[in-house]
Amino acid sequence: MATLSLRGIHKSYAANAPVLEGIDLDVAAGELVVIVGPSGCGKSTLLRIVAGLIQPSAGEVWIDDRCVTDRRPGERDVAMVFQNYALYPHMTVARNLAFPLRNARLPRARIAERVAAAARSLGLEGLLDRKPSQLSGGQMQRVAVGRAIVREPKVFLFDEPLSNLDTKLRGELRTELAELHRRLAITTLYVTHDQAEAMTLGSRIVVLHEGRVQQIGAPLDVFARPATRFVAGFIGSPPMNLIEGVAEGGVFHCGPLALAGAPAEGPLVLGVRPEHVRVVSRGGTGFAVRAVEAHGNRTLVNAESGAARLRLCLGGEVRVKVGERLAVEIPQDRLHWFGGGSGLRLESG
Amino acid sequence: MRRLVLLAVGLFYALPLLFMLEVSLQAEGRGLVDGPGVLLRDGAHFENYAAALGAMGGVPRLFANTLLLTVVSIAGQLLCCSLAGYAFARLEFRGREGLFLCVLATMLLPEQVSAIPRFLLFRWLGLVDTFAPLILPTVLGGAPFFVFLFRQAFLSLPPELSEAARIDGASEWKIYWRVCLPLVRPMLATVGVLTFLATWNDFWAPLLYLLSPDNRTLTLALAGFHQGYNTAVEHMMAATAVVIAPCLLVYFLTQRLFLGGIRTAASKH
Repeated sequence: MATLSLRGIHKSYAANAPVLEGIDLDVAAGELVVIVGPSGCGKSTLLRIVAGLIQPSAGEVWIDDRCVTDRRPGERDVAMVFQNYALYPHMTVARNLAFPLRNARLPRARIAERVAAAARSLGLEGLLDRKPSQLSGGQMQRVAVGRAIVREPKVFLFDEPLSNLDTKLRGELRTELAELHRRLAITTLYVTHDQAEAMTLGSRIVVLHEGRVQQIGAPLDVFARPATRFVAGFIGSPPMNLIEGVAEGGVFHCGPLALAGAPAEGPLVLGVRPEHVRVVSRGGTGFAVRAVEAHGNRTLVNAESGAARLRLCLGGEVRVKVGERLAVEIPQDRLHWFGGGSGLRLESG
Repeated sequence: MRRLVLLAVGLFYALPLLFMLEVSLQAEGRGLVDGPGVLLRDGAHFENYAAALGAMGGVPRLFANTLLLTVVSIAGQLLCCSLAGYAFARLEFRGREGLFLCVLATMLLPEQVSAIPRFLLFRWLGLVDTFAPLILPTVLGGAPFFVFLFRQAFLSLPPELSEAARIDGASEWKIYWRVCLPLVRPMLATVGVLTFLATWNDFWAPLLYLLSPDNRTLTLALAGFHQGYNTAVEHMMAATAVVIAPCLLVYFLTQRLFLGGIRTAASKH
């Protein structure tokens, strides 16, 4: 098992247009860290820098006590699983699995042994003579994972490996990947934009936005205490309600909404998760329902009152009509406060 | 209706070939006089073929020379042009686009423009009347169009394949040879067929550089049939039919791959 350290990674392709800015990250030996962020936030670029496919403009990549920043990809002892699998289409599954081992000039017997072991652990024994075009999406992804584990690398890199699969298969493979990581305990960096993957796979998640780290922490900690307004809006499904307003004398105002306990004066952003908003009465005054999405297991309601817009997550059995008015309650301990300008989390007094 | 049109167009293009075959089977001296009906009435003169091959003189040698030139040219062309195309498509280096434009610009020069300087160069090197002047330009990547075709083919491959191979510890040569080249097989077939046709049918370069009878190629031997006032058209057509038969065979055998290569070149960038 190896440690992975990124120190001050900076990448820009043009002046004043940085893709990554000052990324520092330490991954403990055997840890699985998920990098999550919206498209274009630089997460895949960061992974490619670790793999050695892209050179950083500044900063260093360390694997164990070895700086590998100037090492070629093949010399870093990392393995990567790509979003589109990147299997060699003209080679059989067995040859795909053996390719990195042949490059390492391992003896034939050793190669056969390791290919067989990888195939066994991923349930690929019956597919070894097939070409990638004869495999399903899930099978192809298993082969791609097999090609990575057969090398027994120091670091695994996953670049959105499940995003080309349908929802059901994605769930199954997510569980398999988690199990595989538990079994192999290889240091892993996993990139995704899927929150479910981020929350369930990683022991820590790194939220990236516009090339900067927004927050690093355990998934539930990030969910419970988002460090910035961006993280609050990005982590969680449905996303957190973010209501812009102004605080005066400790009271937060947004249209007809008034809440005591504001941690600062001036422009603020109030955050509250849809599932934490409680309906206390229906009819009369309050938030007017604008849209209802019945998902069966839950009902999502969009409501507004003046400038304040709120999304509520109610039980699946609740029936709400558009135009209906709802009086709501938000427990004080469920409120999140963010600076109006900085977007940084503010702790309530 | 569509099939009828296609049939008509196909027949139009096949007409010269059919004419060649028809004349090659006519009685000596009647090739351009009698119509195809005479063949049905009097029968075909297959002895023209034996006479034509006899008149060419040293047919095995002619075939061997032409085959040698063709095979070496194809091998050289495939290797050099695919390497250059790979570099232009997959390797990052300063001035890549400008250099590629320069390579493409050489396509604007007709071969005749460089014929005399090239001849003087090969004479200075003492290589006239050897196969070197015919082989070297192809082996040294003297076909910008093929470089262009290979570049397009390599561009159509997902970059992740090379990246995966790089992470898997493959050298750049191995990525080219083991990963990318096998995936552009249709383009290899296309360039191979085009080079085969160009070299097999080449008359101009052998005429310039090959002087001694032992070095003659099939096209030079075919030209020998043309004798001013006394050309044996039937024999010339029979010899021509024999000479172009391998071309037709190669084309039909590689047709699917060949068309696949053309499609690849047209599909990206």
